Amino acid sequence: MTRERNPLREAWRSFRRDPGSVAALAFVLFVVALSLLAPLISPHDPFQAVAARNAPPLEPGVLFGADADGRDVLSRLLWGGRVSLITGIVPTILATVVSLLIGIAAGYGGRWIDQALMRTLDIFFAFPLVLVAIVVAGILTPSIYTVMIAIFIALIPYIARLVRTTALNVKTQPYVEAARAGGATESTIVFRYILPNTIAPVIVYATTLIGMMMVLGSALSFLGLGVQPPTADWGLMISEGRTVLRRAPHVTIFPGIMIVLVALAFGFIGDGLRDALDPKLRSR
Amino acid sequence: MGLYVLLRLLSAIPVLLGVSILVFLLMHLAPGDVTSTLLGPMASPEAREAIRARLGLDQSLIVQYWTWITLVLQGDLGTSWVHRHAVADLVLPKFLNTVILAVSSALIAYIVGFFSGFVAASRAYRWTDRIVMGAMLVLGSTPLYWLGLILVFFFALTWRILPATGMMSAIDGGGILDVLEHLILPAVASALPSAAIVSRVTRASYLEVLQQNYIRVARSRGVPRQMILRKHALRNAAPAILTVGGMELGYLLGGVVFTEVVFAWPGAGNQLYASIVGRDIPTVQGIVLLIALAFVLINLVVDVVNAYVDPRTRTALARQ
Repeated sequence: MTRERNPLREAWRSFRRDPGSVAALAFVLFVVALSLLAPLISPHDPFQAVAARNAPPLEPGVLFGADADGRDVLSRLLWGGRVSLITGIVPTILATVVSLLIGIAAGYGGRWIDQALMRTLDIFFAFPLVLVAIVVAGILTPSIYTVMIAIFIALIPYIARLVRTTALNVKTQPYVEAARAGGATESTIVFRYILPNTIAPVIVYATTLIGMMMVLGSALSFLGLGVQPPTADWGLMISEGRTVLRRAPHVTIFPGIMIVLVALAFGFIGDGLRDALDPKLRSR
Repeated sequence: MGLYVLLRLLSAIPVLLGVSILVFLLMHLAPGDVTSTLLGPMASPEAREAIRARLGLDQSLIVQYWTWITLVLQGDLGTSWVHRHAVADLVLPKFLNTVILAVSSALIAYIVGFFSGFVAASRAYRWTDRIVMGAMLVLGSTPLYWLGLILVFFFALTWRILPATGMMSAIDGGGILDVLEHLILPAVASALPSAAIVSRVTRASYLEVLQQNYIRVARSRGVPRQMILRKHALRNAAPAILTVGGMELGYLLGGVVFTEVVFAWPGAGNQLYASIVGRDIPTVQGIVLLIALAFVLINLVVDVVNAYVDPRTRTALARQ
């Protein structure tokens, strides 16, 4: 009797072979670790002035320089990473979970539910995603939760649409029909067949979205709609660096570089996942 | 073809209806009492009642919506709570400025994106391809507002060859050249991240098409390479490129808020931001409504153009 091959382990093995994806994953985990360990490894208190205002990088004590209030940029980068990562990752995961519910209900639940749900989502598609996020964040009180809620709401239509399309596809597959003919209950079909086969492209999409939502979250903070000073956040740091852009460009440059690197990394991971989960690309 | 356009137009109507309902509800979804925003937290109950009656807030939601929508359809977008005159008068001139910025950005994004993707595809997997795609990858992950600030730092503050903010110079400004000079940095900043996406999709689309059998047939028949790339491949790669072009236009419309804020460009995005911060809900509603309207129309046009250009729909339509 042949052993059943675990698809997850297969995917991981496939993913592992691509050096770019592995490097990207390692980088993301490294940044996450740094942010989690910020209280322990941060050279200075991110709220305290420890050097001259706008001190350039490589001055004693401030490897990346100091900001307009004399606070250590490196420390603020480490602490800010927590906020930036959370605002990228958490709402995306939550939106994915909710979208799976909505999308599968729409894709599998029959014409009426499909039409009702999709018409409602169509209304949200009439607005650019960034605009939805800005307006939602704008009418709520500025805070990290506001940013997360705004991104969560803005994302749902997009992920739900993908789930629905995939579920519609899966619904017509022969193994679903076979299961039904074999007498499986509707809930068994949904959980054992529809859900697992719908998840793969959704996970790829969501991973790529994490990077983009991190950028969006930082953008909302840049506008002052999210985390408030003196809390450290990469987008907020860029905003604070605006006033001293000419004298102290490092205050603006470093947080931006961090955002680009982490967003890039998530993009690579998403690409790697897509290639790893794609049955056509598997060797053997 | 005409039938498709008609159907598409008709399907936009319920969407616009839903959009208007959602935008209308903004005022009521915002936490906090409207009367506090307008009169301050210390206002007397009588003053609050008076304002509520004047704004019609004491009537049922449906009546309020009906009043609002009939006015909107006549062009009255309400009165700004901050500026005390008509939202339409405040917002429409700024929309023109935003359109100038958005169209310029879109043009740059399409041209840069298409050509870089095309070049990368035609020299696929070689150094040109890697460099171009690497640059596009980085640009696509770059925050728009940060890119703008970096450009300002180099071109405006350090090298001083372009202005940092505004649409025209404060002194002696206003000519076309002046506006163009002010337009360059914001348009480029807006365009580059979108160009990156267009570039990637162009390249991917081209590569996929170039694998197809009909391309191999053309090549074996001796059709010159340039002609293959330009004629045969383009036609079939076009739908995907057009679709992403339309999507990016939407992304540009959203991102325009950031560009306008960073560059102090006097457009609707900047006004939207100011109105959000100033809690000027009627203005926010007006701007959001107009942007949504523009977005729906753009998507409609993209769908129609796509249907027209896509060889598969054309054959399907021709067969009818």
